[in-house]
Amino acid sequence: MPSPENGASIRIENLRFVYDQSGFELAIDELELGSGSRLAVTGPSGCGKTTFLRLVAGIHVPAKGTVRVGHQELSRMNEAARRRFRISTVGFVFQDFELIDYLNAHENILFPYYINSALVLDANVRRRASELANRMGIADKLRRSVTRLSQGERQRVAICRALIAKPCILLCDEPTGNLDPENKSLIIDMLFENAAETGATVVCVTHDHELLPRFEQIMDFPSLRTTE
Amino acid sequence: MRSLFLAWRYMAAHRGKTAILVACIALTAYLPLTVHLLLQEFEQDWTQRASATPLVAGAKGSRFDLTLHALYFQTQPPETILMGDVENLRSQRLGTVIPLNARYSTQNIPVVGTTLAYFDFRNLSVREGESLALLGDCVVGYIASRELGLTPGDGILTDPENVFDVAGTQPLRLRVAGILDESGTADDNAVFVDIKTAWVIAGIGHGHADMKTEASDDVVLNRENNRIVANAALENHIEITPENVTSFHFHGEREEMPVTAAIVVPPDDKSAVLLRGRYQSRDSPLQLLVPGDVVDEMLRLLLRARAVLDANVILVAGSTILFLILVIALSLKLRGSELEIMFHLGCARLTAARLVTLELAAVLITGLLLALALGAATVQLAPLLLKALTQT
Repeated sequence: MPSPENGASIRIENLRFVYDQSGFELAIDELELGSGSRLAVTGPSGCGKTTFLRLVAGIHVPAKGTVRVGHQELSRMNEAARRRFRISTVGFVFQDFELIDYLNAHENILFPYYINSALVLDANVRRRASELANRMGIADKLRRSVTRLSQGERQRVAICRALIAKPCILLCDEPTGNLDPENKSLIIDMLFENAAETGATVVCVTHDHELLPRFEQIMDFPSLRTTE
Repeated sequence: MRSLFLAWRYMAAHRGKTAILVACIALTAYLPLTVHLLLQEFEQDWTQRASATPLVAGAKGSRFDLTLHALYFQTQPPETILMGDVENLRSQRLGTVIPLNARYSTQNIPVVGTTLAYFDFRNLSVREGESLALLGDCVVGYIASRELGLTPGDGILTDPENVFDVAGTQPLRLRVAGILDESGTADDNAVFVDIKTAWVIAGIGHGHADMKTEASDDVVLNRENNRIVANAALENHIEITPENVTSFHFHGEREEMPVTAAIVVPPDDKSAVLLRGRYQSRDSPLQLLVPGDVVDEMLRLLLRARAVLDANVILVAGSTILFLILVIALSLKLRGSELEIMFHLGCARLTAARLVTLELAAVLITGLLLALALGAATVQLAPLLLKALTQT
């Protein structure tokens, strides 16, 4: 596994991925992203941005080509290994937050530890959860049900959840899509600040062109997609 | 452990849905369980009581009515036989014959007229007070004494046979001589009197002022030698006391006195067979039954009814299972995105399935435990339910 302190580089070569039913095909000849860097992925809806994130996360496996994160080649891993890779290496932030509504904020932050025994939940992890929440300004809301939090607060909980296992890469799917302008800027700052602390590589799908200057690399997707 | 924690948190957050599922399972399991336990208790009680009673004699007619009357003192007795029939049975010298007259009641508890032999036969002992000694005495079964709040020395009035029959039997005040030990049988819920007291309750025997010396001329219609005819104004004693007990007398011969049933206890099987053989003819005024056989026949009928009940239970269980499948399917559909997110974050699909299975198992186990708890409570209450069933 890549060292969290160093983040992880991402290298994609000759990638071809096809959705059998829709005929949608994604092709990336070559992409290299340095460890700890920030990549923004833009493009219209349906162009394959989320599919790209899923390929990097090992949720999807390409029909051809390779996806390498750090020293690990995902296309050679079986499903169990890719799951272990995800839980220990990847942090996810979703547009709709995707929090678990029957857990409180604190339990949501610790959620990755509840669902995979590869992560060990101990006092240090709990302390880290509290520290992250404190940094995100939601320390006083940890015992509250996530259904009773504002949109901004919920996304902060989601970012804490993504960061709790000190991932090497952070995959964000329109993390500010449901936020007002004030919260949008605040959340992206917090995301970068905390990712920088662990050196995590950030890949962020966004439609928001105002945010693009904050990224080191920008990838426009229409040029990568082909449709039969 | 973590899956258990998540399952618990999900159920706690959706406690309404969880409670409905638990209630469905508990009720579905409880109903057949209760019926099974009750019937088991019922069968056990009937079988024990019946097998402890070798033979029952009574008027010809429904064998079920006669058996239930002799064993449980049902409030609707069959036709009566005569004390002379009982004496005839005794004269066969093929067993002890215990007459019963259980036609009357006190506060809806059967009053059973019998002899002291009944107490020996049923192994009934007096826990407070003393046994029957005088006319008008009664000993009260354990549960009946608790229900009526009776202690030795108290008095209780018998119920009129028919409240609309003003000329019918008068209530008689019985003196509580003693309270019986708990036996766990129908004897606990009965009041026992001497059979002669039962005949007094029936109005066949009574006591009143001595018309030769005490009765006023107003009540005497006619005096002719030793024969004195009184009118309705002559008051009968409604309580038998040491002072008036000598005034009690019976109109008619002892052989003509009514008996509702008799328990016959032959010393051995051969005597029982001989006795039954002698009373099998059409001309016999009595029928002699083996309660065990009659109860077995009744239980066979009950088993047929239970088969219908079991079929109903299977249908109810089937519909509940379908309901549960529907609820689980809808729940999984609603939780689709949650399970998908779990998978994206690195959770094995098997773990997600285990989580859902754990929730279902917790609901099932809770429902079954609840059903068992309710079933256990029902077993505790079974004697009372049994009593209610046998008293109707």
